[in-house]
Amino acid sequence: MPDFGNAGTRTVRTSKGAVIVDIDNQEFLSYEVKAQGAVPIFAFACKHRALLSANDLPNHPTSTYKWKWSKTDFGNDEPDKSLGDRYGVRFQFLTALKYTLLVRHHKQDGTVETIKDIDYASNDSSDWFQETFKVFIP
Amino acid sequence: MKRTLLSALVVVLCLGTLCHPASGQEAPNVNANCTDAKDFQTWSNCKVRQAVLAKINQRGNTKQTETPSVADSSTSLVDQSSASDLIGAALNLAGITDNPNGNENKSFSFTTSLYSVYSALSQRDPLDPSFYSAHRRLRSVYFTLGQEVPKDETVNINNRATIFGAKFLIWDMRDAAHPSNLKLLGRHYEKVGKFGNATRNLNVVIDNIGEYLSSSNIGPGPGASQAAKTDFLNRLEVPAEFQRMLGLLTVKDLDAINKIIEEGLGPEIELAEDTRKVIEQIRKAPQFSLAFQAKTRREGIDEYRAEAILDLGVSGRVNGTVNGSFIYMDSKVIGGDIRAAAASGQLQFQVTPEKKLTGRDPIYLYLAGEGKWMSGMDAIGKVQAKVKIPIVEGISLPISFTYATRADLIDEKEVRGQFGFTFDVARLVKTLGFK
Repeated sequence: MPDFGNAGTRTVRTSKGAVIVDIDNQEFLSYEVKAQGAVPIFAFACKHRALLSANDLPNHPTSTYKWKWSKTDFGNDEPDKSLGDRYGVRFQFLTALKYTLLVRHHKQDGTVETIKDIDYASNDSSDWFQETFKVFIP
Repeated sequence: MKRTLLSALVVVLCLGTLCHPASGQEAPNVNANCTDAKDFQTWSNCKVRQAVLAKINQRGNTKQTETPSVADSSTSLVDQSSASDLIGAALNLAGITDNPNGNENKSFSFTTSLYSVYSALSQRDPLDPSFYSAHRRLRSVYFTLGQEVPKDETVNINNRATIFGAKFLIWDMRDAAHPSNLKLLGRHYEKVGKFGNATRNLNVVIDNIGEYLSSSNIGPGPGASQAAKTDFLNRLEVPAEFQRMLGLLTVKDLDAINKIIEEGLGPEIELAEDTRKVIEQIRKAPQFSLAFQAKTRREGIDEYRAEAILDLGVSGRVNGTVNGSFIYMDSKVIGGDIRAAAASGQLQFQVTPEKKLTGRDPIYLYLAGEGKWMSGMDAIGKVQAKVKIPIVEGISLPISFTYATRADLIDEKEVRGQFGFTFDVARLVKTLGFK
């Protein structure tokens, strides 16, 4: 049985479902996507709007994409303090075979916690997977 | 002969039944309630996918993995315009023939692209997107090397033939990195502005499911603190914990979750539909190539063939291929050279839907015809029906039946059955998990 779609495998090393990020005190999340194949297609969004796609990032198509999510990175996209917000990266396998997602929480005290460290692979062009987690602001 | 053909037919039918659902309908990959899903992420994705009815026709279907048709024992009457991006290998094990001795030529060949050679020499990952996109032209050149063992090898080992050839993709509109396809993918990005909007929308759906679970009797309840919710959502990502909690959900809970999903399906269906269109558009794009193949022996006739190949998508599941070739047979006997022209056409029908359950290819049916005109001889006509059955990911079993108005050099009608195995090394490597 595939883990997702028609032929997808998802190899989890770390996966958290939620994280509390103190963005008022310079805490932030860093994202890294590694890709294999012809043209990587992925998008990053919260519950309120699309934030970026692979072709918004430098050197697309490439094997490694990086971006940061902090208080200032996406304008007014700040999670509601009481409800939180859900952030997701959607991977399409239309012209790519494998992705690795690495999300890290950079804390105020300088420590770094891994939120997601997952491989996704599929050679079925119609497959996709959306990895999400919830972000709370204290 | 009849018994052999019957046996082959039984094999075809049995394998066809084993490989695919009898109904021909798309089989669900995970059970309808997604209870095999390991954690909340795979479960929520699976639930949404199950709810989306769009069915996508994907993967390029003209990557040739069979021995080129210059080999007598090839199960392929018509060559296609591209080969596997990395390395393809083909093995034709045995013929099913009228010949009472049951012997036929056996052949084996490797096909590789200049791209794979270059990536190996430069020690770069051939699946690095920047490398892949930057060297599209190198995927336009393929080399083939192989050997054909004649049926009467015990009589004369010098009749063993070396097969070699090259293929140049002059016009390849199916390469994902082709500028027109990159433009198409760019439109796909914008479409679901759309793509990002689908991502946003699915975040809402998944979050609503998470909130529902959090408020239900398996969660910390309504009005729980951020810490309690965080702890609950983290536990949903632990497979054992998730399975335990999934077992506690009532029918009412599942109905409520299904309703949440149904309410948010619009952008998903739109994206699935757009993805399907992009795939179809790329798959139907034309390809044109020029190929040269040779079969040389220490003794006997050497054969050289120059060929032009055009692939055209006819409709969603039908692909057409047209070949025109010039053949030169170089005899060691003075005055024994033969020149020939051949034209052939093939229609490829995808019988079963794209792989849905196990990662195998669909079953393909091919109908082909070939006309050959040789100097000083009567014209030869051949028709072929072939079925290609997937065995496991990357390995297929092609079985063909060919009728010829006469064998190439013997003035008699010939009916020949043939089967073999084809390997797509790129996909095998992928399946086996090697980098």
